Amino acid sequence: MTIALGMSRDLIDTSTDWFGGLLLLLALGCLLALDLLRLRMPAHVRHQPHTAGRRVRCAGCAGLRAQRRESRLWLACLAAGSASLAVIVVRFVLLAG
Amino acid sequence: MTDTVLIERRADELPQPTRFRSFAWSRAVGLLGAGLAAIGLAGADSTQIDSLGLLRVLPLLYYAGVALLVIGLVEELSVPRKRVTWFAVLVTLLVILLHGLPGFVEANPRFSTAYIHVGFIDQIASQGTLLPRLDARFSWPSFFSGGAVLQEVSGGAPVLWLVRFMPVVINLLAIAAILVLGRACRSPVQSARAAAVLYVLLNWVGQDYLSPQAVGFVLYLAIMCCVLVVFPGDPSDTRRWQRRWLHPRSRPGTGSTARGQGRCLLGLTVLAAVGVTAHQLTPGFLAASLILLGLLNQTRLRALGWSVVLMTAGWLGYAAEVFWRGQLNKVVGSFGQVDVLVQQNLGKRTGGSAGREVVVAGRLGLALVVAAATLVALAVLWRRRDVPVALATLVAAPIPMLVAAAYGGEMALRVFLFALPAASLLVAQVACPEGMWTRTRRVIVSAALVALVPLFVLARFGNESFEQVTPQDRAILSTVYDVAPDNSIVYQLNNISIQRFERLDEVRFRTLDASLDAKALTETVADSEPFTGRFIMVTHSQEEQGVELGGESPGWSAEIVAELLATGSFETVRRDGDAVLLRYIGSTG
Repeated sequence: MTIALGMSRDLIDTSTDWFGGLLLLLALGCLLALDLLRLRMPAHVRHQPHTAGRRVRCAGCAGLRAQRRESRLWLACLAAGSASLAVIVVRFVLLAG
Repeated sequence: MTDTVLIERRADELPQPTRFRSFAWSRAVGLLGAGLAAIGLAGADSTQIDSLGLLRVLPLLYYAGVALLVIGLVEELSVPRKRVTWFAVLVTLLVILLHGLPGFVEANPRFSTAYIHVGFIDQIASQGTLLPRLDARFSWPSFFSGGAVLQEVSGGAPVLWLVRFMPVVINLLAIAAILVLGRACRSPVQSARAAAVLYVLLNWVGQDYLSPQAVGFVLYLAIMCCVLVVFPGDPSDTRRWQRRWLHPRSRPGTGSTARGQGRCLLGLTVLAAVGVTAHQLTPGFLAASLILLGLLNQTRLRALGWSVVLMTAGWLGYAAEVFWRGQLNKVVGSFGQVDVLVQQNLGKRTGGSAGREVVVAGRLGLALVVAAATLVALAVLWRRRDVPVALATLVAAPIPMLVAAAYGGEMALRVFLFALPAASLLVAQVACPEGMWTRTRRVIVSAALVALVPLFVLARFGNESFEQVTPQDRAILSTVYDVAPDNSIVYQLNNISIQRFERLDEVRFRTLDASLDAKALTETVADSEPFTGRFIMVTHSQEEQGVELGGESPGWSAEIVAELLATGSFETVRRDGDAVLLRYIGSTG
């Protein structure tokens, strides 16, 4: 058990720094891209799915494409951010002792 | 057409400046007051500082002068003026006379922690290395590194010259931020200026000395200004529930994309990164405010707050590893434990001598008045359907930090500080509305602000008996660095005392348990075997802190010194008033 713990600590010291750091940078990049995307797309040109109670189909419009890109970026942020936080928590738990 | 008529009529109804008032007697009164206060300061004697701090040290002339200055400021505010020059002059004088007070009265720059920060900066400037194992604050080095750059640029001497009037600089920057915030949230100009005066008189927290948190606070305000001015929320994004429940102030459409916003966002990210690497708590306030502003559609930046969360987690996880290794429980152990948090934030800060209780009562009173006035202001604005949601957000966002950690009992102070600028703006919007400065209102506002002056002095400088640095204390510390060889340890009777000013890794400081008897204290010193030089430093600050906070009787530290000398294990290196340096010369038993 002691050996396993020691090995896991060594492993964490070397690999998680890189892995967690890269994930963190990826998440930060996605978040920055999200805000930049929103700045280039003010609300009044955004896709409006409901107009006067009627669903409007505009699958090809720029607003809808931008909205889909925004959703994908949020998902990427969520995935990379939570993964990097998980790595940090593992480091906390294993190294704090 | 109707709107135009209404606006013209309102303009007619505004109180027009008379010739006498346009001559601005307000300025003359303000300048006269500042002059009288300065003359009063010349008569203040720092040796008379007692358990009420500076309150009784200052002559009546000082209080009369500051009162005149405040009255002049209120008169200046009551006349609608676009130019800011005279307001800026008078409010700067007020900040200098109130927040720079110890700089004029006391012999040395105040507060031991500021000296420690000067020592940290000197360590980086002279050695080029951090010492995170010596002190956790080195794990957040950007403030100290910036200070080191300043030290090198300014000739290489320690930046002690910054300490004396740092609070003046920090508060002036905060006032500038309040004026910008007020403009961003469409507060009337007069209200925003009145908020600046309120802030000056209510900021008793004392976190504006040379420290990472002071610079972090200014960074926080700068980021909020930039976010609300450059990236305001789009009104067309406002949800129905927000209109129904929050009664937001109507705003013009801000859907355009100005050039350079991308670069501004990158700059903001860099500023946020500096904040994350400068101080432990500032990123928490920053993230909470940015996320809440985004959720309530007060800014178009929805992701920046989450970036701050990730940056903070990353810095804590990788760069500040030394800080949390082995003391994780100490850092987050009190998370959500209300009883512990209340005890640390409130119980730990109350108690002590009779004078100390008056000071604490003054502080609590001021904090409660601010909280109550903010709630009333919010209720009034809500009824008028004119709530500046961004300001309300900036008041509310810091509050959850109260349950995050006690932070040595200082979290409540920080929450108050971070909420104060926006709270001042809210209160001023109701108490000092544009164009409604009747004679009665001017008298009431002047009287209220003048009454705040002695309360401010009591609350802000009530700890001066042990937070001032006497010439004797500085002389003793100089002697320590003259006589202590490398690898020395210096014990103190409590931790409020100047220390760690230079040679950080060569001369260590530790605190003794002063409740022990002389024999036990001697054993503690004798047991610190690996150190080549062993000393006990007793200062005026330690004596006063014991009396004010520890319930000791006056002269307690001199009694301990006498008992230690009686053991024969110590010799006196230097004695200067109630400051003493003892050297351990070995056990005689």
